[in-house]
Amino acid sequence: MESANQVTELLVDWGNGNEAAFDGLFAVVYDELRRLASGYMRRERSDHTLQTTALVHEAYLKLVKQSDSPLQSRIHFFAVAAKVMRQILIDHARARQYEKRGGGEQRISLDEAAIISADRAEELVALDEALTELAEIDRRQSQIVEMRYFAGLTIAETAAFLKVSPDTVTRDWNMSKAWLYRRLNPAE
Amino acid sequence: MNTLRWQQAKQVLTEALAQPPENQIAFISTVCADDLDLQREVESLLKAYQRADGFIETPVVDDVLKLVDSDQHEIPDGRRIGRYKIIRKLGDGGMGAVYLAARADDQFEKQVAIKVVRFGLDNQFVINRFLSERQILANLEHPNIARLIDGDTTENGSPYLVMEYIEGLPIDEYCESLGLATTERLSLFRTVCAAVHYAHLHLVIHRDIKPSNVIVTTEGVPKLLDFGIAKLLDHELPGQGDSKTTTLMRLMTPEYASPEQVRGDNVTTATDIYSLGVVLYELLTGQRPHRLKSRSTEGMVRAICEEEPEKPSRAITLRELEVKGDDAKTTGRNAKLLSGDLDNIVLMALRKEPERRYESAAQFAADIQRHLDGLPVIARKDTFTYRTSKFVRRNRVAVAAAALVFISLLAGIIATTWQARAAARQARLAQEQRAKAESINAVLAQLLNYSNPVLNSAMKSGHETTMTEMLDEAAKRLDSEEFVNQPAVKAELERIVGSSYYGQGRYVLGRQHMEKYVVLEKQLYGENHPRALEASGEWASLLFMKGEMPESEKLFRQILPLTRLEQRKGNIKPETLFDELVNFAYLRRTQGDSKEAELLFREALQIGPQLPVESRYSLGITQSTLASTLADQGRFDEALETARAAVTSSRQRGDAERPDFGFSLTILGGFLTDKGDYVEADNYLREGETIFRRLLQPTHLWLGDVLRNEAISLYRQERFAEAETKVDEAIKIYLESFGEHYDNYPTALIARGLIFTKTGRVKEGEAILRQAVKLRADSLPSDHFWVALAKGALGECLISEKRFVEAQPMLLESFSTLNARLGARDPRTRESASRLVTFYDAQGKRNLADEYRRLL
Repeated sequence: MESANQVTELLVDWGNGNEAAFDGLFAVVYDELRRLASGYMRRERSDHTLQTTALVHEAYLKLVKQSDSPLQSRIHFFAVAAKVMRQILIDHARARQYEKRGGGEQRISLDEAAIISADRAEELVALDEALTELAEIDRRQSQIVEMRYFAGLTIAETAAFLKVSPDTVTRDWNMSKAWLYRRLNPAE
Repeated sequence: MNTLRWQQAKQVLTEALAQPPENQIAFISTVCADDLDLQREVESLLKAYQRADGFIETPVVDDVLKLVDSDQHEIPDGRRIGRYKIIRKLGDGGMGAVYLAARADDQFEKQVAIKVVRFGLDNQFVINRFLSERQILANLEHPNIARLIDGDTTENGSPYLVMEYIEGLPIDEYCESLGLATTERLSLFRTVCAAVHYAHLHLVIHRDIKPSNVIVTTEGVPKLLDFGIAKLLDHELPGQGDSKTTTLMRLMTPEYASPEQVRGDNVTTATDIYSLGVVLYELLTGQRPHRLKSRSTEGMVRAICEEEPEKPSRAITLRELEVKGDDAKTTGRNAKLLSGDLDNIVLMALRKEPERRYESAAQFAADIQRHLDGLPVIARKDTFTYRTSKFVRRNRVAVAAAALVFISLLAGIIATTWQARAAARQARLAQEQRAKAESINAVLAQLLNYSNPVLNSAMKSGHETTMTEMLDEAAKRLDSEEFVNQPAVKAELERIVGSSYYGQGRYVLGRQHMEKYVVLEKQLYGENHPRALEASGEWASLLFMKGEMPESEKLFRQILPLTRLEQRKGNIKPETLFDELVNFAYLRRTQGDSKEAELLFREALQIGPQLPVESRYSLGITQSTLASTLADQGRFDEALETARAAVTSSRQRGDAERPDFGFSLTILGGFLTDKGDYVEADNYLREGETIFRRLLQPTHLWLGDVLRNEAISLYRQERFAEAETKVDEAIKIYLESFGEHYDNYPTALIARGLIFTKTGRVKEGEAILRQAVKLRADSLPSDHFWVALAKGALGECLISEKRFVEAQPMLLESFSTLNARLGARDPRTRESASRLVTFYDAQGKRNLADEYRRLL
């Protein structure tokens, strides 16, 4: 993993609009998630099971722990983590769709099917597209959905990271939910 | 929508949502006045909002981790696996990826297929077993079975299997592409039956027969792939976290699974016969006997276990009606040819009851041959009586069905080994049983533990209800007769359900199931088997929890030396010994032997480095409890130091975001309170409470403990109202979650009683304190200092009632016990002395008061 300073630098760069920095951050976050995942998946004893979201938070905190990291870059960091998680999931969902279309009937491996079923893959890809549209209308709202849904942050945490009040987050979240739901279920 | 409109819509929607539901629409139309566009927009959003209940509410973090985890086992082209060089990836299989490869040192470049399993083996015992099992499969040599050539583990521990690489088409595609006639399909199929029979004679069951596992080469030779692999890989499943889905779904491809597989009953050779029947059905009719519309487990189970398939001849007719103009001849299908014998043959293989199918694949093949030769076949139509009796059985299945299918499937894995054991009669298999059961435990625990300790608000809504229901359903089934003939399965499931209840904080239920588990394990394995030792360890802990301390102690003393020995021999995991030591230490501490408890805790801590990294955070609690035992011995300064060290080392390990850390904070806060450093104490305790509230269920005992400690600190600071709130919540938690035999319950009562005493409700205080004294005295030796602490508190209450005669023995006994056990300098002894000062002062006995005053 990159050193803490590099992470901070990447965060600052990315915050300044350097999109290339995102790739570096992606790698850092992905690495951390991977480390976390293998521990999580191998956890064997029932009484040690920890809730996943809490684990991921632990990873976030670990990566941004260094106290010299400016607040602003910490906010960016959470935004990055959420984006990385979104990308991982959507990439897999797309692959799954592709596999389904190309592979005809039930030849796909069933275990992956159970992580993301074909139907769910469709839904996720549609959600991703709708979310991208939402970002064009209201960037913050789409970011809130990203943080809540893909990275599992609570309302309070999201509010802290975006430096707005929890009420604002709740308002935006309700509106996003309604808008996205309508966008994805136009018939209803 | 432009930004302004968007903001307006959001504003109106937000305000509308704040209204009572019935007023919302009216509200919108009022606010929007004559802006109809806005009104329509907001109404439409409101409607969507109302329907979006639960939509995107459950974060996908869990899925992301699973996906990331499955990614890490990818092997790039050109890399080597053992002696083989990867040429390219052939595809993703159920358990991992399949690669085309060649022997790196082979001049002929013979190609092989390598299946690399996605999860690692990190236990030498499991690896050895995997290798020896593999050897059995490698011994299957049959022209129609793809040979297993080799198998090992990669350097990062992933098992792989090297198999003969077969180029060809799945049998269904092969038949279609050549337009084979029914008779040709039948003879091809007979060859497949012969291969399956050969394997059955070698005690290998395929378990996953389906067209894609039957490849026909360009020479027209059918070859069965993956024989016995399903089982091999079940075995090799390490006790560690395989994801629930892999094990579950790898068992079968639902379309080809037999009723017994779906129900979780024994898998036998008859299971393969059923799957062969499905394949034959498909070859003859072009469709499957069951069209599984629903992917839900419930739907699949119903279809497979209850629905009678259409007769093959009728299935063809129906299909021809559907696809008008399709020439049946060119697809090799002919309804007339099928009706009668062939219908009966296929349906016989597909019977719901394994014992009513063909007795063997050879018999199945022979019946087909008889049909081809124009001889009478043994297959008969299903009779009416049979169908009626089946109806009854069916309803029974339906009652049990649904969510619990998970458990049935997993139970099936053990049942399998059970049977294999009867067949092979090899002692070695006993060990497999154990390892397999462990894997089931891990898998099921993962399944169920979604409802385990740590729940944050985001997950609460979706997962918890269903998992709780599922657990209750599992418990109900365990209480029925269902598993009577599968004691090993039942034992495992009892354990899982029991520990999951514990995880949820439902201790009473948890205890009931754990008890059953322990009893079953002992019956199954005998007293001194490592597995029985492990169960006995849990049993001893349960006895302790039930308050049966002498029995618990006796059992611990009996098994601990054996457990140490077996652990050194590698038959018991370090974490098992660790748990046993820690539990026994708790018991000894409760019994008042803090010295022995200390030694046990220290022994446990020494095992620390051998624990799996992800379990090491439990060292934090252990160290904190060690601190408590030091305090018990009056070694207060050491205790405080150790409690601080526990907090520091947990932070250093990066464990500060775990519930366990909150526990360490609770202990440290408690000592600081005793010392009188209330500000520092409150800081730690508040941090602990925050952690628990965030990570644990609101009924968790640990939350009760931190609240109790906060209450004590607040009480000492005379902030009685705040203290009262905290201690009431603690008491509520203790009673709801555990009952009055919880160790810390009397201490909460003491705090409650003293608060009453100080706030003018002396009578109520006295009653509560008497209850605390009784609980302590009933369960502990009379000279235990916990009894003394309770008596001291009661004495204080009695002083305030001016009932000096009654107070005197309480106060004196309390002081002398504390002084003897903890020493005169211990804060608790001094507190007791100060009560005596008050006591004598109140009666004007100045000299006696001074005698104790100098101890303060």
